[in-house]
Amino acid sequence: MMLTDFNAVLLTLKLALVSTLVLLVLGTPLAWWLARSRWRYRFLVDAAVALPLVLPPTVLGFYLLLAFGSGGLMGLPTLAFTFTGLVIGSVIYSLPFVVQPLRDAFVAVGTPPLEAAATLGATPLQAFFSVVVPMARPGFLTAAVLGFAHTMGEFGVVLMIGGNIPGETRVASIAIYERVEGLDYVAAHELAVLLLLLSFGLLALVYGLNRRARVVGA
Amino acid sequence: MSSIRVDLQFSRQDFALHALFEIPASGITGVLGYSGSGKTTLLRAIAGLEPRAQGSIHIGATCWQEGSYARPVHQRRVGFVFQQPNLFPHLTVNENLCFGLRFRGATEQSFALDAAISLLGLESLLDRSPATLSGGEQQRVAIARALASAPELLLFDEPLSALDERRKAELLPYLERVHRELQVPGLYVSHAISEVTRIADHLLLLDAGRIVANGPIVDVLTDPENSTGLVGGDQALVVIDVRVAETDAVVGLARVTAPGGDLLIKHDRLVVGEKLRLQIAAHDISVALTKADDSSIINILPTRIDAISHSTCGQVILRLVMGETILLSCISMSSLKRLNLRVGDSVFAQIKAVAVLT
Repeated sequence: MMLTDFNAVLLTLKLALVSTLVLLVLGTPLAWWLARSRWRYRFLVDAAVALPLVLPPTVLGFYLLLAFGSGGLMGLPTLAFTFTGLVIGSVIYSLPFVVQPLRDAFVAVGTPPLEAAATLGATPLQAFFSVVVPMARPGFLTAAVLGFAHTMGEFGVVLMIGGNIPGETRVASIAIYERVEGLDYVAAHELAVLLLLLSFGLLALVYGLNRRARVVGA
Repeated sequence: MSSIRVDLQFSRQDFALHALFEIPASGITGVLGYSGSGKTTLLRAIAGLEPRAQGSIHIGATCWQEGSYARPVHQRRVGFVFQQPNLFPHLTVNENLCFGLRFRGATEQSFALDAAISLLGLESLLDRSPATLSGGEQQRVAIARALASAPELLLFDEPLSALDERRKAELLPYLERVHRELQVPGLYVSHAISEVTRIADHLLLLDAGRIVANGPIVDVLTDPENSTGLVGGDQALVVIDVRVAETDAVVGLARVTAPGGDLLIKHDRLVVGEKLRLQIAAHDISVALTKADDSSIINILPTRIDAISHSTCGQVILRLVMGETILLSCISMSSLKRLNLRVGDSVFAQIKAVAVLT
């Protein structure tokens, strides 16, 4: 494998890791709110979170490009064609893959353990970390792996806002596309197989761990 | 003596609770009411789990709620035992018991933990996971967990309702021990008079969201006014706190002393000096104008009719006084007429069965 292609894989992993961490930090309170809120218009937020599931990535990428471009919306600094821009794009793109498993896990934990914790002297925050997080552990694992894997496979958004700058925005999926364009099927194949194995390995890991968690918890 | 004063209002579309009462801040107060009478809501509001409840709660000199002030749940120092055990599945029994210690850092708590473990007999279960315990064992852990958090007030929300009859019978002696050995005041919600009579010193009757009776359990049970159907009527019974005076293993009887006189009960591993609570159902007491010497009944006691209350289905409840002890007798309307019984008459109460509760 060529060094540039190897660097593309490394960049992909870095993007997926950073995006997953950001998603867990932002997605956990959002998922908690979605699981607990009784606001009558909550469904609108649910729909907005699910939007990246159905929207063509190019549409999302197009609007992000407008927002990130020089002189773009909201006075943002120019983020198009930067790694930071890719992270923001990935976070939005992979949001439902993190928020939905977390929300479902929080709903499954339910109210009774929280009430028991409160009557035993735990503040809401202490109850969250000592009861909800351990009880929702399989949900966190699923959310992290799905967020990671989905970001790894991202293509359309990157194509729109990232371009193809080696070491900055040239991720594996873009590199594959470029190899195919150049009719270098061997190089494309090497990258494609690598991504395939990585993705399968990750998913196998999460399902394996969650199965064991259920056995231990039973 | 300090007291617990509660004045709470809570309303939902189909239900309104207005509970105003004052009870002693010692012993267990039973809260008896039908399903839907607001018992659970009342208990949850006292714990702070119903944020929409308005009013005031004072535990002795401590204010938990007043006007716009409401102390958050985690600062109220309650020990809440729910209908379901609600154990934390990711923690062992011991970790569940220690959960409260992590957040309430008082020094007497390690003592409370050890005491709770031995009181509920959990020594051999400490390393188990809650999922491997039976329902009764889980509820024992839940009770111990509430005790170990060093509460100022215990709240039991029908802790036996999720258990079958056999598990209930297993758990009741533990609750009686909690009642006997613990100084913390508590409220015990139930719709079963048979549970309340075993562990309550004081009784509140709740009907359609309102307190309809409040007093020492013996008084509430024997008050002819309390014929809401919760107590009295078909279920009428009395509890009598007695002390074992002497035992006779040969005839298999024990003489126990009640405030108004002595009774004979079955001698079953009783110890002289031991305190017992007896329960006598109104159905198990008949009356006679003369003392029958040729009867198989052991306890025939001289009493005076203090009140006659008419219940449904042709039955009446007689309130009988023997010194400071009150008995209830359920007889038919026709017997009342035939014997021409009136308030103030002297009659002999014939007790067919006495249940020893503790």
